[in-house]
Amino acid sequence: MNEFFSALTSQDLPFLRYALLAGLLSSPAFGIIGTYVVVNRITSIAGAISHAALAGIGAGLYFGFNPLAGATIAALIAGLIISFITLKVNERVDSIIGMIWAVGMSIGLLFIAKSPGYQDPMSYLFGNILLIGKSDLYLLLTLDIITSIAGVILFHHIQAISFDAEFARSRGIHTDLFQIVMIMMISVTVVLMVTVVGIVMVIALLTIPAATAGLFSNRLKTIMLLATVLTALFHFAGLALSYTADSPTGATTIIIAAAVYTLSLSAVSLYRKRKFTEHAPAVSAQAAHPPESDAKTD
Amino acid sequence: MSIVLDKVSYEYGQNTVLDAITATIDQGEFVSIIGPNGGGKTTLLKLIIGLLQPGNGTITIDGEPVHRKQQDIGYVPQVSQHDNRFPISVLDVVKTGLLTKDPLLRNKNVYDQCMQALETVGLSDAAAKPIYALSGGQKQRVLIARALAGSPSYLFLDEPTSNVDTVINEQLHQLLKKLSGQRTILLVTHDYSLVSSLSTRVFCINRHLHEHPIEDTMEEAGHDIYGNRVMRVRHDIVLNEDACFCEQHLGGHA
Repeated sequence: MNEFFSALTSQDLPFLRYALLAGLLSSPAFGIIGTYVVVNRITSIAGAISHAALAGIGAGLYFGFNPLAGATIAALIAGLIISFITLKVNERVDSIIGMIWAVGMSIGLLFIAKSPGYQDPMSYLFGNILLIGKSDLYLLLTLDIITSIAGVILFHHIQAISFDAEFARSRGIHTDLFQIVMIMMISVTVVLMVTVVGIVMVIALLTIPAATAGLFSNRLKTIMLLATVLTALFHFAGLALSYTADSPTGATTIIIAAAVYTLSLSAVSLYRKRKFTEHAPAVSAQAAHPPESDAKTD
Repeated sequence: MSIVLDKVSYEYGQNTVLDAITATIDQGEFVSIIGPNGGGKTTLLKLIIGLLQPGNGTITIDGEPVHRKQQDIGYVPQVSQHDNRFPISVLDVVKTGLLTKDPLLRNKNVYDQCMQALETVGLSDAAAKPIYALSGGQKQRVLIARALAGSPSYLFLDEPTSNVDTVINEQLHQLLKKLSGQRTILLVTHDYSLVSSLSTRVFCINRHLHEHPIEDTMEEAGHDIYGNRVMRVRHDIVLNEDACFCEQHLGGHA
């Protein structure tokens, strides 16, 4: 671990600092938007957007502009198409989402194959911290600030619409517009970490911290905060371990996150089981002699 | 203050669900909407709330278009509409009843208003509990508290007793009795005991609207099982042949 801290301060290894900063900067957006994705059960939409981002990366390499900017544009276009289909088209949404997922990747791979010079698609598919430059950090910071501020301002609406969209509509809230904004925010958030963990695995980093946080809290705000902290911790641990073990950062980060989720789920399940067993005799006694108060009888 | 429906029609594709519905509901009335499944009861309620737009005709509330009055409407949807595992506390659910269009607008008395609404439905002790920890009947009362949080002039309920047992049914009945008269209430229901004892008018919806004539039968029939005066739907008046299929279910009393 000392080796990792030494490397972080080394003038020869700026990419390591950039990778760490990229992970820490994107954590609030991942915590907020990841929680939205998990509680609304729209992981497939986030997956389709992240894979469609490859089309923008490929276009960037082919036409010679910043691939991250290309990824942002492609993810936003994919988000808009998915929003339109979800809200307006009376078709099998899951099939169309799957199509966007595969077509986006195909376009990206075609562009990469035809780009001048050798381009390794593996770096974009599975992440490569060497790809992160200083200009990318500024872009990440800007996108992160926008996503985080929007998440904070819209929190009550996000909560209300996610819980019961029809009721929110009955209050005069433009739920369709909010859902489009949220899908756009998913698009932006996905791009934040594509270069670090890659297109294939960004979906895991978007959902695992929120799913883990959800095991420990039943309040949306708390889950968002906890997911933010977990994202930062997973990223730091993944980077440190991958540097020490000379392994791919994205894959290492996801394995750590998945291990923490599995351990947390096991611990919480055991705790609940034990709690249930302790209360079982009391419940049995209550069933034999039902109380009169309505809270217990209904 | 009244709700006015003028020749309101609605179609799902080629299927006409509501055809030229015309009615006026005055302030303080308790109107029960009954009718066969697929007859258009919930569609009519959603049109009045503004969740659906009529294909033809107009709906006004207090002389204004529905979308301008939505903040003055409390709506209790069927309990199955929301995600039962969603991580949200009872208090936060009730807070959504005070949601405004502007995300930056904050009501200063949110907590007090929400706790008062929870007090009304007898669930102030459950404010901090997650919604998924409650029973079906308790959840239904939380949704009523959410509708009441903003002290609306209009309260619209869609099948509020569909998922509750007889004990909760009676509690909801008492609650509605308490709320009736203070505000205009529209109730979509299959529960004819609610229709019987609380309604000032009964609408039967089956593509068309037909208002059942009712009469007070307190002197001859006494009280219902909840101790309220009994209203009876009169069947000595001939209705249009396709207007209503409710008579067979209603029996002598509705």
